[in-house]
Amino acid sequence: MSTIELSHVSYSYDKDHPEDTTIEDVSFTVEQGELVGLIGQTGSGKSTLIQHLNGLLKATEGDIRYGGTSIYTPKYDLQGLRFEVGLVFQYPEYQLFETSVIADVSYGPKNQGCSPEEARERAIEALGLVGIGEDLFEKSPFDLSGGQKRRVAIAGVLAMHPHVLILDEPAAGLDPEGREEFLSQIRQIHDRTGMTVILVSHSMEDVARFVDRLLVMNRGKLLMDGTPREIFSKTEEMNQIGLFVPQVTYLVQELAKQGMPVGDQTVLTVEEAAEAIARALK
Amino acid sequence: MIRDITIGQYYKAKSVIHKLDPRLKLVCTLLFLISLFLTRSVMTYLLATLWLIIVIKTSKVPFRFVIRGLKAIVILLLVTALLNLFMLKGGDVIVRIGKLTITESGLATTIYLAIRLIYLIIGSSLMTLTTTPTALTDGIEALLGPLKRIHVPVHEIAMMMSIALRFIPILLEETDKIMKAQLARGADFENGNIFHRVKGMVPILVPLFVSAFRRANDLALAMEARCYHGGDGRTRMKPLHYQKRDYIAYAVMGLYMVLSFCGGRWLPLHFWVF
Repeated sequence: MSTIELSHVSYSYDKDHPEDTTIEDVSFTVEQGELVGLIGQTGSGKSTLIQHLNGLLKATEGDIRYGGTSIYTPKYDLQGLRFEVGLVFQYPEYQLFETSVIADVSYGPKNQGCSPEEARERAIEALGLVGIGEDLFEKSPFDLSGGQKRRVAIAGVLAMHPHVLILDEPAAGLDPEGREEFLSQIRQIHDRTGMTVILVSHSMEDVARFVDRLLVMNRGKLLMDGTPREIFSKTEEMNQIGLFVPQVTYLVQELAKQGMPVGDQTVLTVEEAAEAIARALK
Repeated sequence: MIRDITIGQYYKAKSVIHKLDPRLKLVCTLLFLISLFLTRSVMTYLLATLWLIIVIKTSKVPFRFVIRGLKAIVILLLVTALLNLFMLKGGDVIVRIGKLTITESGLATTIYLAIRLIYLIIGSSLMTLTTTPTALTDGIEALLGPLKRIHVPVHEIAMMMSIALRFIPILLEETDKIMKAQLARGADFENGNIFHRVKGMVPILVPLFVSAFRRANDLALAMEARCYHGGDGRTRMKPLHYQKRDYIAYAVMGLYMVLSFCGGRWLPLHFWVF
């Protein structure tokens, strides 16, 4: 089982100044197969936190258990952990280095000890998952467009067959249409493979519709943990920490305040809003 | 990981030395280094010691920072000192260990050499500790200004220096990011033989170079968009102006040079009488 459990994790960059910690006493559990969104403003510690999950950073306090075993037990196989917990960094396109797309995607599997044939097979499969056509396989990754590069980089992590996939701001820098397509593709990959997926973002609008559960970070602390609907109903609290719920949620809340009987369910998408308003007007 | 490395050794503090004009500090450092080599007299070195103590005190830089620069040359210092000690022949033999002998002039030269090297490093460290890299490049550009007459591209050299300095932390951060990204894909930088390790650097170096070129391109474009066209007719936001304190510092430096030179000449208190 690939459950990730964090208990009282704290981290500070500077050991001499424990007062400016970047992560403070964070505890949560992510079960196998969940699709979780991790949101928070820039600088809230999201990116630092996820680097703990595959052992790139070591918590100064607290413990992280993967599949029941603490990853801080002596001689724990961290490289092995990194194959299981695939981490895609922000702007992953800048990590491409090989001469061809397929060779770049095979890099991870090769590190895992796969034979060249198996690595190639996995690469082809992963590229298929992210929607990169066969015609691009032999091209140089540097000749691709920005969006294609990002897909290739994500395929590079998917090809390692991780049980957990963590994506840091996967939609950053993409145009609205691209974001939409991209995120729903990630949802599809999750549904098809049953992988645990953690989606990191600062934009609630982006992640809200794609995840089942939201973790909200503020100033290195875990502030809320719940379904998007639960969390978006706390509009005021969210605004206070500089996070904004989808505009359509505000709209429907405002309508309710004005006395329109739109129901008391928090609305997440334009479609839901349309339904609620239609129901109210009937 | 790489975050821990600090480049440039500027020590931030509020002191008169920090405020002095970078041109002055460059000139004074050069003069100080010359003064160390002008004479071989105890007077000169006593004066130099006193001078360094005063400058360190006024600069408010902790002593351990000042001598940190010495770490890098410890081995060089030891090797040259030992070579001098045993190889130089002259004067009476003081110690004899088998075939090796230490002579009077050998010992004296060794002592002078060690003191000169150590003071040289401390003196130049003091300059870099109290001057920001940007101020230093400005100072160099201003001092080398006359070379423009003979078509030395002084401004371009200074610009390249400051851009290079500016990019060091950026590229370090970038390296850190790329390393982590490749580690996340199972890269292994620590184990294996030398070939394996060198090969393991490729996934870091290629993206790093690509990103450096991309940044260079962006910067060039941004500079051109702001009508940068080289040094001709360019004005500065913070032009270098000598203040009163700088003139005083020049005067003090001049006095030091005279004392150092005359003291060494007319009060030739050598370690030994040669």
